[in-house]
Amino acid sequence: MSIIDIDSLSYKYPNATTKALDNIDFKLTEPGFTAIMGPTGAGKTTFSLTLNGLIPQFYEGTMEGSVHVLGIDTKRYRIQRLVQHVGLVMQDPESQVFGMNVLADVMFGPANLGLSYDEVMARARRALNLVGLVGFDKRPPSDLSGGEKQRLAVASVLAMHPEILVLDEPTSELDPVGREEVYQAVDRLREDGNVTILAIEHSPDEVVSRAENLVVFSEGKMAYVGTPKDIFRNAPQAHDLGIRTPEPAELGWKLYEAGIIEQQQIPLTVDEAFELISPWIIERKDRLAKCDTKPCRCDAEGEKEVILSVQDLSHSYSDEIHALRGVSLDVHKGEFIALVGQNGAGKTTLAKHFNGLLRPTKGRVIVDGKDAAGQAIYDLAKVVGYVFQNPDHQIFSATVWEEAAYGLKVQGITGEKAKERVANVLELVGLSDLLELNPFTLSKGDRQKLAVASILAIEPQVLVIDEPTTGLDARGAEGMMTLIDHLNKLGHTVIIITHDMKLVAEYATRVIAMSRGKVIADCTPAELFSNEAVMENARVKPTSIARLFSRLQELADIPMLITVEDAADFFIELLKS
Amino acid sequence: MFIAYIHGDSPIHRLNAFTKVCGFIVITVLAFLFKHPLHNLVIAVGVAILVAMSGLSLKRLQQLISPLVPIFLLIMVFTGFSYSGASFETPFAQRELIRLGRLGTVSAGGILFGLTLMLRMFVMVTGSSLLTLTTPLEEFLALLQKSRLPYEMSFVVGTAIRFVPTLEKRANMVLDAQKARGTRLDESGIAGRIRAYVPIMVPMIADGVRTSENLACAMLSRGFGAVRSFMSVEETRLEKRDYLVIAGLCIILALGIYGKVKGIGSL
Repeated sequence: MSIIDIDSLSYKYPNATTKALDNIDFKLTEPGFTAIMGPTGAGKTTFSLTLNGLIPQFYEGTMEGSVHVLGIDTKRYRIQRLVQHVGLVMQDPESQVFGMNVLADVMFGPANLGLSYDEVMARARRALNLVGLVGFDKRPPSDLSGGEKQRLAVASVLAMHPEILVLDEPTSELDPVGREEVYQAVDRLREDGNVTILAIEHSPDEVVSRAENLVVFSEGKMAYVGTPKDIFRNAPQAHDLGIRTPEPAELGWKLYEAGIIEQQQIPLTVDEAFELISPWIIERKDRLAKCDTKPCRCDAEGEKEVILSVQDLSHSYSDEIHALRGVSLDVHKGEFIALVGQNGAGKTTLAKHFNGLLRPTKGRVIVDGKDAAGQAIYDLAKVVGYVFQNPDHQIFSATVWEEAAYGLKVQGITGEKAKERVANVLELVGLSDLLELNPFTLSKGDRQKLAVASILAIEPQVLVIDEPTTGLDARGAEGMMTLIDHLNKLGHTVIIITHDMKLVAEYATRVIAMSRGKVIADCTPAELFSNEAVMENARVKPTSIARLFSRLQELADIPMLITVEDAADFFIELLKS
Repeated sequence: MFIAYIHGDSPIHRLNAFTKVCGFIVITVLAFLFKHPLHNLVIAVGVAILVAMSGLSLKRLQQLISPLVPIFLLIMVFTGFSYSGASFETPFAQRELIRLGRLGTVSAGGILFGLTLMLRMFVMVTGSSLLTLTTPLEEFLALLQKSRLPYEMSFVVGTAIRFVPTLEKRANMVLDAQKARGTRLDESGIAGRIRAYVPIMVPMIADGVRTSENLACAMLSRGFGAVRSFMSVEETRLEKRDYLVIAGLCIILALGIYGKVKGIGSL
């Protein structure tokens, strides 16, 4: 009997014009880890909802074909029966927690099944143990970190004892620490028994180290079914499907294109890359001695004008919570700064001082030469634009145009001048064809761009952008970062808050690492990735390329390179000479 | 604020929620049995002793009580004026203390009854705070379930309460996002205020709709409604100490009613 057996499945949401799932055939016979990748809107989440009967039983719309899990037809049995075989953990941990405390929440599922108290308790204990939440029993959900909350969601579903576990982007809203916690729990689960896991995941690094099978969705179809290896070793195909490949594979593809290695040799992990490349370095060790270290990407024009200055800034939310403790720094015009560090390190608290959303408990913030203390947020907004992580927290207008024009309207700028500016920013972010659409119908990536446009219209000199790529797929993230980079080149000072070290490596000219309310490093990305102690402290995990180079540096005197581009150029140069 | 449970391990904390609710009812009934402030003072002192036993900080209690002090005083003044001597039974209470022309008279009974009302309010505010501060919400909900109300009802109440902090957090995020765009919430006039809050309300409502759909999916994914009978996840059993306390409460209540019938504590 197949674990999952899907026969020409199609599904259309009510009022939709196109099929969300289009004629899918899929069979899964062996337990193990199956990763599901693909761009936003390709049908991944819709697919996950068909597995436990939410489609077609909860969602209306039209479903054709059939889905059998462990031989059970999802059309013919109630959802409540199906969920005892298929556990579904959704993307947002917040809306999956029902209990007043951790233990009550895990017990909720099995208690719904009408089991005995002892059985419910035993199941809850075992599930909490598996995800590493022992001792959290009486903690209310509001006290949990993102990673803890998501692990709780996993535990609560595990307590239903499903044979199949479906995870819909279980870590997309989490910081690196939270991601690691969740995946550790998943790995423990696999060691524990013969489970079948299907996980929707954007990060190729998580996929390559875990998944036996990979399914890539594209426009409602399964565009690729096979092993992760094969697709990751074919960068153009992966790009066409709209998925990222691991950094070592990106590097490998460039070396393959340059005719240096065979396609089968393309490394997928840092270990494999090190194995491939270290002999080259060792052979050429003598020639490598004393070459130009650390490519400096800083401007050689000397000190630029200071646009933002923070002096001995402290901020306390209460007597116990000191979010910032004596931070001093200058931001110069035209810089591209990344603020990094663990959740709770004080990044957002610091950034909220730039436009007056928070006021210093101690110290000063100087914005464009004037003390922020005397100015309203409304006035500071003209100099410092702040784009929040979730565009849905600000979009409220009926059309894209009105949304982008809102900032100008409240600043009292109307008429021809406003029209021109709005048209310009929408052109800049690439939304000028969608002016009359309702923003809520846009894709997440476009909503994010609209949020940026609505801030840009006010023409702030400084742009603070919180997690610019979180929740975006490969194409959306690329589009967003190209836009931000473009804005920086146009002269805007850019400050991004991010956990994504790939962004830091590729775009930032300066990185500020924070830990426990203090700045612990203020340097170039390459310098940060060379400093183990600081990275440890800020809980920052360097990019794969940076990790590769710090290992290679032990073999020979080579520069610290952190991006795929630079690394590929370096190796090609090295091997050709 | 009132629903904030404060963790502790005092004798009061350890009692079953049912016992504590019984105690609260008995105290309230007693406070309403007697009109004389002296008797109510005894009850108030009793409640104060319970607070001391519960290990709650006095500062916390002060925070609850202090905003009510002006109301206490107002009530005292009003009752002093509004009850004429004739409405009391005892000669002492019937005495007129001050005559203020057309404003009326102030009777001794009026002042005393004012004191009583004040003490009653103190007893009820303190008593209910004591109840909520020493009882986790889960136990209240379990009690609700035991009371044979439909399970769905206690589930709705519990889930709603559970989402209060979440909604608060989201509201703050929306507020920050709009303020950063220059939204001003200090517009004058009712129309202006409403207009100013549109940018806050629309994203909140949109978010609420999305969340509720996710919640429904998550509930079904956890087998909600699989069987009609539902087991309470909070184990609440009455212990020996609960029975003792409840017996004690019964005796006190009986004594109180007996005293009332005998005319003790009247004014």
